[in-house]
Amino acid sequence: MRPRLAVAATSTALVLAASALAACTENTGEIDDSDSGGNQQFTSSIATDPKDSQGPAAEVPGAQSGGTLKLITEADFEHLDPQRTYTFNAMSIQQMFVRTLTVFKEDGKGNVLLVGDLATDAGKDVNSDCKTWEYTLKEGLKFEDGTPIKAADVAYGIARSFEETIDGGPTYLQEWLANNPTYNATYKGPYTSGSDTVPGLTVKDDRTLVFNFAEPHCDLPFALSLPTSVPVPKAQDTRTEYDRRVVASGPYKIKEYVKDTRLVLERNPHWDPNTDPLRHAYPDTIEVEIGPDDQAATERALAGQGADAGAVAWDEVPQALVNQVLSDSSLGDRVIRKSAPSVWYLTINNERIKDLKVRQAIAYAIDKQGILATQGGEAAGRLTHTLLADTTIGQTNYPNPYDGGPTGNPEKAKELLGGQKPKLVFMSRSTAFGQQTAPIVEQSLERAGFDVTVQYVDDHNPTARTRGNPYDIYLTNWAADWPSAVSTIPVLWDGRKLGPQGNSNVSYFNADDVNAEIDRVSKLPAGEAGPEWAKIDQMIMEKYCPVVPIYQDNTFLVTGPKVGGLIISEQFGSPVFYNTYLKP
Amino acid sequence: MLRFLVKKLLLALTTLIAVSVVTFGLFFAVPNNPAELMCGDSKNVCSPERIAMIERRMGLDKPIVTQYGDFMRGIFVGRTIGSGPTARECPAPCLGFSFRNDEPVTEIVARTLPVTLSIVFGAAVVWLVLGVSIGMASALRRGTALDKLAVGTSLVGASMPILLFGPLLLIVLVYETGLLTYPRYTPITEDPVAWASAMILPWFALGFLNSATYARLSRAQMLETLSEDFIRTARAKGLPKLAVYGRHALRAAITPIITIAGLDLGAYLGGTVITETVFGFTGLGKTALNAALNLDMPIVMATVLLAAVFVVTANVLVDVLYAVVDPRVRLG
Repeated sequence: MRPRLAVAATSTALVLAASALAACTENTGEIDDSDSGGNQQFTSSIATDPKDSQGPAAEVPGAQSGGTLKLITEADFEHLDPQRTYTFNAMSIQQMFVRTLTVFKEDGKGNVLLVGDLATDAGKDVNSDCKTWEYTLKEGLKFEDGTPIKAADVAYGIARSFEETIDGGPTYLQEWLANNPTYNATYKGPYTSGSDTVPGLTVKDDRTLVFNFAEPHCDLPFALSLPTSVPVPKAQDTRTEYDRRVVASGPYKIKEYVKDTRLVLERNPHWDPNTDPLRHAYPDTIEVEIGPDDQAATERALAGQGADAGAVAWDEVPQALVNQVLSDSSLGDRVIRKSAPSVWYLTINNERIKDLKVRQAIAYAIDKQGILATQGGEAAGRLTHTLLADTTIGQTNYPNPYDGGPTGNPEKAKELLGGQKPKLVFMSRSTAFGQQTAPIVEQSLERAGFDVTVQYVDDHNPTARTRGNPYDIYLTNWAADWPSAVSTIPVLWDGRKLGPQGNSNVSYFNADDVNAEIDRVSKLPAGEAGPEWAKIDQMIMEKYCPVVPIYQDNTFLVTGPKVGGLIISEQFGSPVFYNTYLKP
Repeated sequence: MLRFLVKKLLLALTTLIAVSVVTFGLFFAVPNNPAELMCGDSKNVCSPERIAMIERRMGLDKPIVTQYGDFMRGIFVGRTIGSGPTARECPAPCLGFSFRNDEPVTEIVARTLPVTLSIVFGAAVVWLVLGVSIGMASALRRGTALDKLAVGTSLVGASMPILLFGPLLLIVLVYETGLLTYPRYTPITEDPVAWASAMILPWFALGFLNSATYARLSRAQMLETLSEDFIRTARAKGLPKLAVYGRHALRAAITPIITIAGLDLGAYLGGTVITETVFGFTGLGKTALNAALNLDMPIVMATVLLAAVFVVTANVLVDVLYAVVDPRVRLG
């Protein structure tokens, strides 16, 4: 039995920097394994010392150059155009051929540090009000054709993200610059507006960019780690065709991209490791093989025949192979399991279920372990009771306010219901996931006295996002875009953002005191905000229980015998390849 | 003959129009909005304004009839999608752009159709040669050990799904023994040897399993034909065995097999989704399935129409071949 560790997401090292980005937030926590057995330690912070942003990256012990790293995945990337990318897999392979203003530097042991990538540091909060930020590019940065990367190229990349046709990517930066959720209401991008000048974004000189916001945005350094800030040379912008041939600024460039078949990266001779604090370029070639499903990819990595010895089965280990992989001790570090920043909730429609005791009864009654077991059990995730994923800066594993045990406590739920038999309409997806989990939800709630009707739908998202939908409960999940609660709590639980449709706050939760707290903490420097967000997490759950956190996803994959240095990103919850090498 | 062909072509055209209308109608009958689905990927930015923007860009804000008209017109004369500086030209035969990644659908079809064609035609050769040979040999050796072995084997083949047989082949021949490498599609124009070696497993898997049906069908047809009067007459006239079986019996027995083969080919060309998935190929079938799951309407329309074209063409060809193989059949 694993040791039960006292939790305490202790925030340490809040180092205020004199001029720059206020601070270094450090959240060191050992995750309570009382729910399902997770036990990890992590530290997240924003670098305050510019040296952390300098290259070259420290050598990985035992690593060597050469060989071909093969990544096997079933589905092609929706987009490779950086301004249109919003999936973790695409972002992690992109890290090998394009660079962003800031980047999360991770060591695979739980230490996460936000540093400057193209920029000399993680950003300078000019007036210490999070409204004006200045970024200076490093010297010696070049595109794959040898032309220097200038501040104007970064600004142009951001400008094109305003275009209607360049869609699909994150829109934090655009919304913040426009100070409007409909970010392209005024400035519509360089193709449509005929101007490269984004309101609020100033190219001061070849190496300096200044962001001016109407409202404070203390999370800008995080947001700039998303690929919106990848530089794009205007002369080589092929608009929607850019998806097929992205101009490289990282250690590799695209040699060949055949959609649905393969993406081959080769070395970019103009990448200078001395400018790069993150990446190594150990393999000569990186090849993404697209097509084989998770079963085939895992079998191939396990067998490790021929070129597959250097392969990563990029998709998760399928349920059919979970036991085989877990029981084979000879695989050693070829088996990779780690928390992903994605949390599953049983979301309660608070506009329909207004009685707090009923929501609490649901929380006590639900059989979390049963739900997780349908998805592969411990291999698929760990049970949780917090709104924030444990990969979030400041996340605190506070005592579960509705601790019904892993399989639920129907007696406690009945007590709260006081003899009532509330009716609940449960909307479930008709996918395999929905078919597997719905009976567990239904049975555990009925055991506690609820009268549950399950209704299956093809895609629950559009309905759940529509205010006034006729469902009481549904299973939803959320993955934060960066390890700050800003990309979770205000998005999911700020009731003032509710509209008639397209809502992310699908619990339709709205509480004045929570909204006020969100406003207060949003204005705090990123370095101080982490623990305060965690307090809001606890407050929401203890006081309102608008959703029931069920489990946090795990990343679980295997590699071929020759793959070394593969780490799972705390930010993406999927593998990143900047430390990866091929063993002899 | 000409009248027959004109009649068949008109019927084919009517079928294709009906299929396109039904597919388009079904797509919009589903209570899901592809713009919502695309917007959903962007998580917190899924505002009503953004949904409206995506709908406008994809042309989903127009009436359904207009959308259908635009789509069909684009196939023959091309069209312009969107307006203003971001408008995109889509030359004929325009099948639109993928909702998911903006790729021209004609390019997706051009990339995935050869994969499916490669699998199906190769496998068809295997199942026809293997199936008909076993069936004929079995009929000619009725009651012998060979016959029993052939019947038994075909029974096993006919009852085994490719979902099981394919992975079994992979485990034995690829993962465990390394005798073959995992299949990887290479266009025949680039490297014919690599193309053929990648196709060995899918050809064998699909061909072997389908050959079971053809073996049983061929055996039954051959046995029935061998009991016909004209065969007895041929024998009585002292014709050599080869002429009796090869020229007379086989020709008569093969007519229904051609029908089934034609229909099978037509159906498989529309997509062999399971075979493609098992062996890691992205052909027309897998593309169609993903498009349906992602509500990617232009791809769904293109793949369904293509599948319909294959089935309809196969039917016409079968009817023509009937007349060639069986002199009793006259077209008209």
